[in-house]
Amino acid sequence: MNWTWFHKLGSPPTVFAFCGALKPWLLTLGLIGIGIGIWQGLFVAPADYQQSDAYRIIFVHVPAAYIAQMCYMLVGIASFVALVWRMKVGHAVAAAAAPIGASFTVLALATGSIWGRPMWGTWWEWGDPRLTSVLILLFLYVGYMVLRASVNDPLKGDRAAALLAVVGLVNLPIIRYSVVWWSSLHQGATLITEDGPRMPPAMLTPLLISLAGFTLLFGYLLASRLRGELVAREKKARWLRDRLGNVTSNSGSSQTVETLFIVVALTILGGYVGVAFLYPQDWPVLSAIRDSMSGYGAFVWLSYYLGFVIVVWNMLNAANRVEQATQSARRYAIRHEEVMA
Amino acid sequence: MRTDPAAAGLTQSMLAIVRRELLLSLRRIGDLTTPLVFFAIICTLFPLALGPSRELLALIGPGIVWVAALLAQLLTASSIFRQDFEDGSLELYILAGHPLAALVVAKVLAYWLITGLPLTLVSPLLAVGYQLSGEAVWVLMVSLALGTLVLSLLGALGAALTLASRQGNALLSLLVVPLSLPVLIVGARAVALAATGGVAAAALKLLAAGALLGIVLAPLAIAPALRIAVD
Repeated sequence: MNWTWFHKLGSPPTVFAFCGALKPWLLTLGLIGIGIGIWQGLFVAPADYQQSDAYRIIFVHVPAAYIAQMCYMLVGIASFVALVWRMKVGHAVAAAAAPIGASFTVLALATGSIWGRPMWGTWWEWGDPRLTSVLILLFLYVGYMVLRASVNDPLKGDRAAALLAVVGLVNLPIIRYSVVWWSSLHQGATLITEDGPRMPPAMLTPLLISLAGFTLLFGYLLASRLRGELVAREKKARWLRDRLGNVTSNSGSSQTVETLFIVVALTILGGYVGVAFLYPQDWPVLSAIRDSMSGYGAFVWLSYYLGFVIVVWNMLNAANRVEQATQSARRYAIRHEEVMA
Repeated sequence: MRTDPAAAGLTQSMLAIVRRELLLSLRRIGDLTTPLVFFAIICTLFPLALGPSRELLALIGPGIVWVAALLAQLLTASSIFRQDFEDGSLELYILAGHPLAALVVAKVLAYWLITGLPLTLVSPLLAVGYQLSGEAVWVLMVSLALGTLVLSLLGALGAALTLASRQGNALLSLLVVPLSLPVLIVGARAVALAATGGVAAAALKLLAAGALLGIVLAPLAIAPALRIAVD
């Protein structure tokens, strides 16, 4: 069998082109999958006999939790590959994936907490090992990203962070089992047990579709961020200079302000809606939404809204990073031409 | 007594490192006592903040003594390799011709003798303040002895990783605390079980397993981290 295609995945220009070709497919298929999964989950799947409509948070919560953990594995494996075989692309993949994984960890925590409110009667239940271990996962992500950012020499930062990611990968199961062991000693009043009730197909199918959609969308986000990382890391490489020549120079202004504006506006809107949901007021549209989903509308819609914010934030952030890296590389290319001439 | 360094065996070199570290800490006695005083102060804070109820303190005592020990260990962790890094000893360790991981084991064992062991020996005094007595005190000491060894290894890893970083101590805590949670959970649980008349043997065996696993695996990560910093 011919393995050259595999070895080419270690070369930045090939990966750059590969990600570029894959991006539109991942985005389209991912959005279609999420759309179908959520539509079926919200409106087609039957209500749960125990949790009524509140369980519908599952169609955003479980994909978020899955991506949070899968992404940490990805960071760890990419770091291992980068350390052992000294592949630059491995560091770039790990650096690109970590912020996405961290944001989905926040989403998993937030939706889990929102789900806990109607089900356990509390926003946070220490007796549930999954909430606690996802919180620790978030700490691991933050430590990883801060370590990388705090080293002046980017090459050293890459390798130190990669080592930490590999250690974290080894330690994660130990942390996980110790937390499970710990909470099993505390007789937590959890409604949802580890082995939970079996899911009927009418609920499972939308969940699987939603999972697939979120995974593809994660692939899209990773591909865009990875392109940004590669541009930032390879800005002195010839292949990038050649390629930048083809890219027509657009506005040239950074999108940072717009991104910030959109995220802040979404957050304020969300805060307003959240407050309106939580305190019983008779505002026309909001109370109708709140009373939907057999009274759990506030929790269900708030979860989906947060999922939307996280996805939008990730897309804008990825585009922003690519833009910044491209501009920096273009400046370098112009300077290079001046020096050469 | 002087031997040719190139001819020195691995065991000799490791013993030399341990002796050097112990000697250095004895000459600067403040390094030895600061974590102990810090440990005592944290254990004093909780009764002052929560009130003097004996039942409450007996209930939360094992956890608090353990958290205090963890924080006291972290307090000094960033200094494990700092001086060796600045005065060039670290480069000599790397060039010594012995496996760096083995020298790291000696370094960490010395660090444990300077911080972990004194913490363990002082802990019965603080346990009295939390109404722990009898078997629970013994379990506390054994769990701290084993647990601080794992914490020393993790602290050394954090110290090695943050050598090249701009923000030393705060970042070190951020990296090490999540990794050391299993030790805290199992250690505090062992003491709590012993205090309430349960059987702590399983938890202590888990800690011992963790210590063995740590002393084999952690140096394999600490050594490359040191190489990255020195590169």
